[in-house]
Amino acid sequence: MVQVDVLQLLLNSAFTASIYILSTTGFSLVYSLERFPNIAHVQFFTLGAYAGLLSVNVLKWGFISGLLLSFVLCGAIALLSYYVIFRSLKAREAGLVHLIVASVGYGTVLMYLMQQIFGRDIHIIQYPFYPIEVGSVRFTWLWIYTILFAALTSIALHLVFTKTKIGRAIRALSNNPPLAMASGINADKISGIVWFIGGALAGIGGVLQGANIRVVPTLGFELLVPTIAVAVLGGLGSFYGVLAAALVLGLAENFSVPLLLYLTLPTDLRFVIGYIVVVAVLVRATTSKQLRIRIFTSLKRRILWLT
Amino acid sequence: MVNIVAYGLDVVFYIGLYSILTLSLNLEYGFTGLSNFGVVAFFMVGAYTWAVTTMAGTPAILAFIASMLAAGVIGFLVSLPALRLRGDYLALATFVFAEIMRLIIMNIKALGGAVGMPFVPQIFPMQEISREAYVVANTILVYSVLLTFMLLTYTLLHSPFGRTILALREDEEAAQALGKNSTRYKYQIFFLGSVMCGAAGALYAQYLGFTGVDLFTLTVTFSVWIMCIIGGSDSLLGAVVGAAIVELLSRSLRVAKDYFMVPIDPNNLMLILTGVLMVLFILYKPTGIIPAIRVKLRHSGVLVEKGGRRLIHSSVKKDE
Repeated sequence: MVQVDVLQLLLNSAFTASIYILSTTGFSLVYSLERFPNIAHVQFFTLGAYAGLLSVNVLKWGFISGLLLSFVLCGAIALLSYYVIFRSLKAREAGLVHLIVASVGYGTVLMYLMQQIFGRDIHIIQYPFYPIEVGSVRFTWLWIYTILFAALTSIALHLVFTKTKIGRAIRALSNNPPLAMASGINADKISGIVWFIGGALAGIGGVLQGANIRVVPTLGFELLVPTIAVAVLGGLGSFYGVLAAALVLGLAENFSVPLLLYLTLPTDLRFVIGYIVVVAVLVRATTSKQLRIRIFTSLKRRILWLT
Repeated sequence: MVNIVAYGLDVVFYIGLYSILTLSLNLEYGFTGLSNFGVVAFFMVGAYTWAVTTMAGTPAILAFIASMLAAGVIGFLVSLPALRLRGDYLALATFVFAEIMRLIIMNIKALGGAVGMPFVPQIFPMQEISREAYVVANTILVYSVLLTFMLLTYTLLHSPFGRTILALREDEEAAQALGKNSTRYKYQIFFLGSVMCGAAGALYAQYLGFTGVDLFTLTVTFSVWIMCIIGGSDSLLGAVVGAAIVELLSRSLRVAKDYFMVPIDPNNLMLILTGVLMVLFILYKPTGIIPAIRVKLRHSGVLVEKGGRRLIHSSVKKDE
């Protein structure tokens, strides 16, 4: 019999959702401005994890400066990649596929450069986070920090989007680029800011995720499928959609673990949920309402007939 | 002692194999404009279908057809929800599908799980003939399949069907205005492309006598894309040229590792170079080598095209 601890699962879901928020916010923001899925985005996660590792294990600067270092480093690298590769592609009026292929190539370069520099070995960020037990729920302070940080980031971004000039400029640019530029918004500068924020948030997420499990060159790559799933479920390019979708996917993934154990299936299959979500969204977007109702009623009739 | 002849032929075999994959991507992306980032998934489906059907005792020719059909049907099913939407949804759906497919197969014990399936039946008996004869026979097989697919694609492109898909790539709305059902054409092309990947998968599994999830990582998809872009995405010859350039580069890096002191792991170096090439080609030569040569030849008057038959990719037009 599988024991189900709902509180523990809820906490696990909150942690997963926080990581997804940090990984997808940048992906989705960049999508909303540049109109292409930046496959290389998750590599900033790995980069952030290695920056944190460097700061904590080698330089002995401590965890907080590890977070700061990866924030600055990943933001800077993301900004650089925008100026060197993607801005010139935009200037050449490259198509969607060209942009995706370039991001795939760039992501490959980043991933294997890191594999070359740091090796394939598993590294552990050596900073003690003591486990806490409250009732039957076990967690570490790291989880609390992660969840708090993701929540604060979401609130801060919400305030930026609604209250500040830059936030309004970002929304205007993603809604109607020609009109936004005609009203005097510097599209280049805004894009730069968005790339920096996206990369920096992913960097922070990388340190937290790396400290939670381990640091390997494929750390970011493992998050690619959930990141895409969250972005698609949230409606590509929408920030508030990302917040909701991250919660949904976090809950679905963690609550499916006891179910899979009960069915004696491998728990790795919980990642398939991400794919099912993507397909469900696509099917919903492509079929008309009448068709869905027709299929649904015919299914219902058949099930009733069987029972 | 390294058998140089067999090694050289092995390279030729792989160029043929990758040419089939690149040809399928040329058909999907280059001629129709569909961005399939899950090439490796259909390749994998072909390989596993071959392994399962032949181990169950199916004759080779039937198993080969089954591999092609299985990949085609799965390709069709994957494209079903995505093709009606904008291009980026197809790219994302196929991308995610390839990873999930690998994850699912990795967790199925009957398909060998993470270890893979050894002793996959081979078309030519490896134990009874010499190594060279084995590779030669397989090379001939792969190139005859490649030639068949190339002829098929060529005929298709020079038929009303081909002119319609070229029109779809250039301006979908205009084609629809002329009464062409664009989604139906896309489904057919995606099915055909997946069939080619399935055939390549079957050939791969029977050549190695093994199939496993480690052979089908996303790096295969990346390699096929870079081959497609380097060679020129809307050129049949480009598929072979692209496959040859990337494969030769990869092999020479591995050989160079044995003779020079290279401080970088050749596999990492290969993938880093692939990525750099991808970005550079997209930035500076998005049309690829063969179309660029074609444009040069036409400028110098060597190549005279029959008037107006061929639609030119919009990015080539800019070069001219």
